[in-house]
Amino acid sequence: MSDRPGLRVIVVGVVAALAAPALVHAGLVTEYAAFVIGTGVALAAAAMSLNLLMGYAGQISLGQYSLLGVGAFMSGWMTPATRLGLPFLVALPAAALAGAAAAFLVGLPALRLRGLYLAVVTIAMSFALTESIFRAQSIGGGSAGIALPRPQVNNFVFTRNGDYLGILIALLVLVWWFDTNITRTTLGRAFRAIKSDESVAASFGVDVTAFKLGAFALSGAMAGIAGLMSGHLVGTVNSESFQFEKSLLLVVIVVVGGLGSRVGVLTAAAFYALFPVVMPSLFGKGILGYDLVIGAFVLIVTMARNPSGLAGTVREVLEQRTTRAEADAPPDTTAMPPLPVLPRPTALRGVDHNEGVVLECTDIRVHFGGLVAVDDASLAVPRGRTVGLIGPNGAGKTTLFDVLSGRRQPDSGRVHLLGADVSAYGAARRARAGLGRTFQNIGLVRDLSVTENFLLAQHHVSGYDPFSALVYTPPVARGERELRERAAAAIEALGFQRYARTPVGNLSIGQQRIVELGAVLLTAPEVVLLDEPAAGMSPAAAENLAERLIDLRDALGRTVLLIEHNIPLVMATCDELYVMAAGRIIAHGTPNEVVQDDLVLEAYLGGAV
Amino acid sequence: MGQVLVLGLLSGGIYALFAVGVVLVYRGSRVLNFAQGEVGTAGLFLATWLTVDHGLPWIGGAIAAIVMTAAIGVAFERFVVRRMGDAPRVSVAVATVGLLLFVSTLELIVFKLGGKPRSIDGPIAGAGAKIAGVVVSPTQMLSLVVALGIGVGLAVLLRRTDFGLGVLAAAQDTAAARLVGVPVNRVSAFVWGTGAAVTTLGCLLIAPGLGAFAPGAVSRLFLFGLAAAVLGGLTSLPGAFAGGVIVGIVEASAGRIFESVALPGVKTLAVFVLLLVTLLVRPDGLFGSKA
Amino acid sequence: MIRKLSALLALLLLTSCTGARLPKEVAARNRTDTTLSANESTTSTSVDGSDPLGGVTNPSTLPSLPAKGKGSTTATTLVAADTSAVRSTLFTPNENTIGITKDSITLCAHAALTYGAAFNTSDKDLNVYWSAINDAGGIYGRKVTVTYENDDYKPDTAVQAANACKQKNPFALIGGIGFDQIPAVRNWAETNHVLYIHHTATVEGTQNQHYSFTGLPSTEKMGEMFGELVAARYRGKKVGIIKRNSPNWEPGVKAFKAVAQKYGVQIVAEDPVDQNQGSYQQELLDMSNHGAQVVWLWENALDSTQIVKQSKAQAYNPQFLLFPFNLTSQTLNNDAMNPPLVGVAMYPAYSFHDYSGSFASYASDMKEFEAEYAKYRPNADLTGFGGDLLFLNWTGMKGLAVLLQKCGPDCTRNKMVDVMTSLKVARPFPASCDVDFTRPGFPRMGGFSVNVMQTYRSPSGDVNWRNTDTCVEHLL
Repeated sequence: MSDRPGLRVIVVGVVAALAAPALVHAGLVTEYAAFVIGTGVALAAAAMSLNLLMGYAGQISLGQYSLLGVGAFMSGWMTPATRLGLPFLVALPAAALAGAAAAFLVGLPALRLRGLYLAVVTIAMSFALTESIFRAQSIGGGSAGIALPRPQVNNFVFTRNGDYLGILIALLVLVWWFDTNITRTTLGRAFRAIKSDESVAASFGVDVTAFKLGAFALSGAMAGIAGLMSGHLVGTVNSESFQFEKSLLLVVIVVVGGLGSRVGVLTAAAFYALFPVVMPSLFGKGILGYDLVIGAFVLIVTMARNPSGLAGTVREVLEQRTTRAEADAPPDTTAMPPLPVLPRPTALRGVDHNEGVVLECTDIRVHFGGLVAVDDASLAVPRGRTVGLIGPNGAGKTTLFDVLSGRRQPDSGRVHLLGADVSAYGAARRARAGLGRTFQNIGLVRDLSVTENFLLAQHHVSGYDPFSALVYTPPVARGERELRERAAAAIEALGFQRYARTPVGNLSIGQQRIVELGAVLLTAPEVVLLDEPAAGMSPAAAENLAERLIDLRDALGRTVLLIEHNIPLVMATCDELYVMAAGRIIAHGTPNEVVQDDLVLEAYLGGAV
Repeated sequence: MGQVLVLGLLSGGIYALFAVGVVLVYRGSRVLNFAQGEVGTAGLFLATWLTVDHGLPWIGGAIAAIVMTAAIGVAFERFVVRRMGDAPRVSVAVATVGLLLFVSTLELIVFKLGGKPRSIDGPIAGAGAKIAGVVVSPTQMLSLVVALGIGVGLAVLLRRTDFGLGVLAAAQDTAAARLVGVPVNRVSAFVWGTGAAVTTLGCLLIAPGLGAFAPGAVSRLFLFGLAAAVLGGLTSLPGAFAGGVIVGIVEASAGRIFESVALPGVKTLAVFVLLLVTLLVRPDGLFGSKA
Repeated sequence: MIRKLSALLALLLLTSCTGARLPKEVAARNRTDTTLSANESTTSTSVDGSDPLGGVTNPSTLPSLPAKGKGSTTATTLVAADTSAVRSTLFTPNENTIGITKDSITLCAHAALTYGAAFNTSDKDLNVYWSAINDAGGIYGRKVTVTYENDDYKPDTAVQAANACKQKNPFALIGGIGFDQIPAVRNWAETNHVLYIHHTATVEGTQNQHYSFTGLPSTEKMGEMFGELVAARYRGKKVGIIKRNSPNWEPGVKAFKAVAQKYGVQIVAEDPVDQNQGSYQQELLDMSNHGAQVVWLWENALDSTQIVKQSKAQAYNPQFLLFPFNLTSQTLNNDAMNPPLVGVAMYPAYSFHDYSGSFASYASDMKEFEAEYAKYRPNADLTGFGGDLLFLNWTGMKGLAVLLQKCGPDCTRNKMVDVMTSLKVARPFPASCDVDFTRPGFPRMGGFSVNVMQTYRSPSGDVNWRNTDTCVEHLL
């Protein structure tokens, strides 16, 4: 990620947008070529809209092209002189809004559905739009379709394809710029976190519902713009223009280009727009028909050889080069570095609470089917202390954690955080209220780098409205700068500079634990919930971990609730212990009191003794 | 009413035949195979060429078609799906889009169709029975039985045999399945081959009812089969049958009920709404499981 | 993608014609003479094709078509002409002579070629007529070349094809068959100032246009004639409609219903179907439940074939009316004969080597067509379902040749516009119907007559179509 991608895009875009008409006027590019390129440009914008949804946010849509129809028909209602006669520039935001609204509706089922179920619903949506809605006389304009006029400025009409190509390129650049702003800010990081693991996203304070719908809406807005672009290029919008196979083509482009890769997607879109034109002109008309066989074959071979698409191939080559330069991962026994002491994020007002209970739950009850997983459990975590929660496997500890962190709604019982009743809050809102947690299987986004994970972790302390990131306002720029500084400081404090750009998934488990803890601490949480931090660590590393946990309380002044099986670690770090067995809290006291409790021994060793 | 039911069952039987194949591949490798309908159509052309043009008996043409398409399925699994390893499933689905294009274009060239629609008789001759005013041909009855039979039969195979359990295990966690000795590669090949074979059999039973067909003639029916598979729950074979019948009946009654509605495409709209509402209430479909 | 199938269909079906077909003829006018006679008869009904219109034949206005068939001259009757000055100012002086030089005329057509390889249909098959013309000296010494761009039956691709054509600076852009793409290209022709001569399309949407022309009857006229057919032949019977769910097809249905209402035809059911729907049992039962005795299929050839087939399987045997293509009748075979299917088309029926009965009136054209294909494309299969498509393409091209001829030795685009706004001519060659560009309310549209057809068992054994009414404008 370069530092000023926005500026570069704009400069390149403006030059291209001005150059295109000039080249056509100079006769270097023909009007026909301008049309074909224009088709490719609109296709690229459409593919970027799907890339945002599938590549970033991980939501599958097999009906994306029908959303282009929404934008095009919106413009069909606004721009023709026989209808509203409004200028192109007014139709542009309207098409984006219409596309966003339609996609928002499509996104609603996505809150409950995932994967292929969602995919098939989007196919059905595409058929419903093209076979029903677009064919309604009032929308589709009847047999002739709707004639869309080219844009006009004063008396100059962009009738020539070359002139209009300038506008198309400018619009693609606009879409590209939005897309850049998404990927370089917390907006895009939130999308990627949702794609990777919704629970992890929520633990960093990402409101999964809002961002999922946001991804659909933004994607729909881009699709609406793409529809307007191609509609005014062709000059007519007709219900037959948005058939299902076009949506399938978009999926092919995005996957072949490489999910999540702007450049890859642009390349693939260009290929598919030019292929049908170039093949016959190279090989003559006889190729028609056979060119499809060849294209299909190339597609199959491409996917078989590299499922992550063109971008994946390039990335692999680059990675091979960098990994050779990078040292091998150090063994897990490496001592855990001191935890970073970071300034509070400016976005968090200094509301340091004093003494008292930071986190408390009462009478929590959870059952799965007939099994009671948590049975009227209550516990309290006082400020500045490290509280342990132990118990045999299946005792309900992690379930209780999930209830505390808001990942799971209990059947009954209340949760209070910093004195406020947060029972009705979701995980993201509790995270924003000051609750940080780790996961047994590492709560990080594995394919993002350490730096990016640290940036993501600061989602709710970014200090700007994520959706304002679209236009990268000065507050956004300021906020991002601070996030990057804090992330860099944390990486330095942990001694992880050499891994700053390494995907987290490539680190050892021990290293991932360190990064995860660092990520949680970056948000300056009031209370930290740690779920088996020593799992998978060597004894030496675990001992080292104990020191760090003590630091956490003493040096960083954090309140901690810890689930752990490693009893020496618990004994060394905890001020208080709760013991769970079969869903109930069966003991509570200082570590020494608890380990002498008969009930506890029974619970732990019961079967065995 | 009775007529709507019969009509719904008949088109539902068509959707079910496609849905069963879709579910089988999905269970074995978590992929939607978009090419399935077209591969079946290719088999149909081979069978037509052998029986109509070269006088083979129906069963001969059918076996040849099934063997050929099963081979296509196995080859695709061997040279594409397997090489893609644990790539995102959507990438594999895109590869099947490539297969769809490839097969449908080849149909034109290999069979020198010249665009002429073909037709083929069903396995059973005879007048058919009139049920609630609908003439149901013996082949249509057979296709319902076959759809149900394959759905239940494969479900039993998967649940009750070691091999079947291996199929399910491989879909859940390939690495773990391999560790416990499941022949993962064979399982995967089985699923893709059988999926193609089942779909081809489906096409062979559907074609006589269509009267005439050209490449791509079943593409739309196949997509409705996909909807049926999802409705029934992508993991349930009997669910695929039920989904097919439900989609068929809803389509048939929507045509009747909204006859006077001016909005075009009400039947398509009805299927969309059915799918949406069902999945919102039951996100894993009517008979699906989380798995 | 999947649409290939749709293209497939398309190609053959519905509309099926491969190439560019053109306005059927048109005729004359020219500064040469002013007079010309009689307009009395714009409608010529020749029941069994035997009698071309009477009228003044004026060979001087019909520079001998390079075509060798003698029929072409005899059958032509000029009915009107206009003044000698070119009146149209549609094209600027620069645009006016694009694509025409003293020894060449360049035309470019958009048509569905995607599956050309598979269909064994190539540009050369579509250009046989021009090969013959050019070998015979061209039109006023000008060689005519027609090139093709693939439109894949899609509106967006058709506009791309139109752009590709424009690049070649053609005299005119020719539009192949297709309800979906012609309206889009018409819009494009307006903004791009391209002379566009297209196949059958709707009148709807053309009110403010100036650059698009057709010598064929409109979509609405086709619907109207199906309506009259019902009113004339099946009065008192209950009628059902199975139609394509598409706004692009709807104007035909509206016209049908208007006629039906006028004559008190009872429409008992009207069911929309989607392209490639596959199963039509529900719609057929709906027809049968409502007691429809006549069913009009407003669908493409493959879908219509399936509907008829499935109807027979239901033991439901109404009188079907549909677009007449040999593709449908040959595929249906016996199912197309009992009772014979009836259809309405803007082109004449064709059945290889059968010059009897209603074919007799244009047998000279058929022979000429067959001779030219034997000479230039001996491998083209004229007996199969492609024969009628190639013949209708051939007649379209011949019609275009007549237009170019009428445009004269100093032809320009503006003169062509004059031709296609003021002419009125009766059957310029035997296989053509009258052309009349002067009708009020139908600017730039010259076709109003259709052929009514019926299936029959041809001497070759195939079930083909033949005309029962040739070039009729009304049946009532």
